[in-house]
Amino acid sequence: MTHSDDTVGVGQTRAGALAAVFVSLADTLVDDYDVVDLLDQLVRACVDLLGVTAAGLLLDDQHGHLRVVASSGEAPHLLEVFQLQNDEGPCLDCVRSGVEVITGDLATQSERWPLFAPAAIEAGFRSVVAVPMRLRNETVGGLNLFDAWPNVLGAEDRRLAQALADVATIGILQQRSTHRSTMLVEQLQHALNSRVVIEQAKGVLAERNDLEMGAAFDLLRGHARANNAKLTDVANSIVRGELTLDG
Amino acid sequence: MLRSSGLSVPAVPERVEHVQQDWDRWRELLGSATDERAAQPGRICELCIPMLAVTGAGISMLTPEGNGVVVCATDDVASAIEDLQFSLGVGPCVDAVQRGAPVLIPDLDDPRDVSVERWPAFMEAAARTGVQALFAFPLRVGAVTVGALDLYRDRPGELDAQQLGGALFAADAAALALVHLDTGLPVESPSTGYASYHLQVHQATGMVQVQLAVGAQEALVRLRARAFALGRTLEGLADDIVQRRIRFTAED
Repeated sequence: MTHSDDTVGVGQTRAGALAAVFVSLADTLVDDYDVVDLLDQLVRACVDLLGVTAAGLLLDDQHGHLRVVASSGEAPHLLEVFQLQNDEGPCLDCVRSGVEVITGDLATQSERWPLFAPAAIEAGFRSVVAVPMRLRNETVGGLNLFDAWPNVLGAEDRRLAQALADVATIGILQQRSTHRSTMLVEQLQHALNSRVVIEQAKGVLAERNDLEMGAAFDLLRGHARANNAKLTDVANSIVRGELTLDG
Repeated sequence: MLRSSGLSVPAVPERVEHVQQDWDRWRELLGSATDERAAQPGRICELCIPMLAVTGAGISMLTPEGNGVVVCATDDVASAIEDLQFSLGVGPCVDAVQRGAPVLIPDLDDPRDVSVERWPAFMEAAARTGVQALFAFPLRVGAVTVGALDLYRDRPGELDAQQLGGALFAADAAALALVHLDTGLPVESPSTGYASYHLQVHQATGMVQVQLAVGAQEALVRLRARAFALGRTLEGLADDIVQRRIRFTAED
């Protein structure tokens, strides 16, 4: 398969969508942005552009754990499969080796990943591509692309995935670098802590307004957008009881 | 005002060669104490000295009213630094708490962080104690800051990337230790921090917070107490709460 086949076949729509995504990401990066909001946009863009079933970003917390910092969906089984990779799985292999890991059909991979492969299949997935988030000679995390089918993303799609993973890495490094020179470990921690605050706020909203987690996140993000506020700031106010949202 | 710990400033090893980026080592050290001191604030402070090549460390707790209380300090100087900040109401740990980010001053004589200009009285008093470098970390349970960890050196020098990572790990463990102080709940062993819990635990913390009309800190204690009483993992219980199979009520 050549690249031109792809572009001719899929035509302008994908090129247009791709351009829109990168324009939006570039707009975000030059502004004062919220890192988790950016990473959430990125994983959703992966699902749209690459046609995968689900996408997630896992960061190395520099304490020996991989932690979920963005997920394209809220389903508990999806989060579980992402989180399972703390112990074993393509993302862990990818972060350790610094190179892309392509699983092929997970149904044939239970020897390689005795925990991960059956759990992922049980959750409805049949293949994974894990792309490293690289910074010079360090790997700080991985972008996971989960598919309900065993067929594998083509080379062009994987290059695009790598470009999106690189944007995510840049996004994490750029945040809050205005204060002073900050170290990578601090940037990673900040992104991970923002995720924690947002999950707490989703819990508060879900309970108070009787919403599913996905709807709670939409409410949170909708309020942040409408008020031109950062997602994490809004989430902080909600958890501390300084702000209540109706929805 | 100095604590009556009777400790003098300990000699600092020239350079701790064997400090290595080894999180298992931190976990092992925090989890290895057989007594109830495992992963307690005092032990975390003591471990910071060899692990991060600092002279001393102190942990303070913030009351809900925003007042600081010194929980532990490894020596008189560390204790004095904590007390100073609370009496003056300014300083790196106060700033770290407000910013929700570390404040790092590797050389008090040549501070690159401009915020020190806002606390001349503190800087003067700190310099008189012989402190040359000061690093303050907020102790957080997500959105809620429960205290601060202060590290100092009697010589100038930055925390390198590995030491900064270690300090962030210590701060995460200390936040959890503060939340569970005096609750009678056993500390987890090997120790982990709140931030390393699964996302569902954070979601469940938010839900329980509303169910019980308490703060995030109290919600986490209640979650852990319930998981302990039921002999379940925190993750498993959190999943049941998020899926609305279990609710907390005021009687719980």
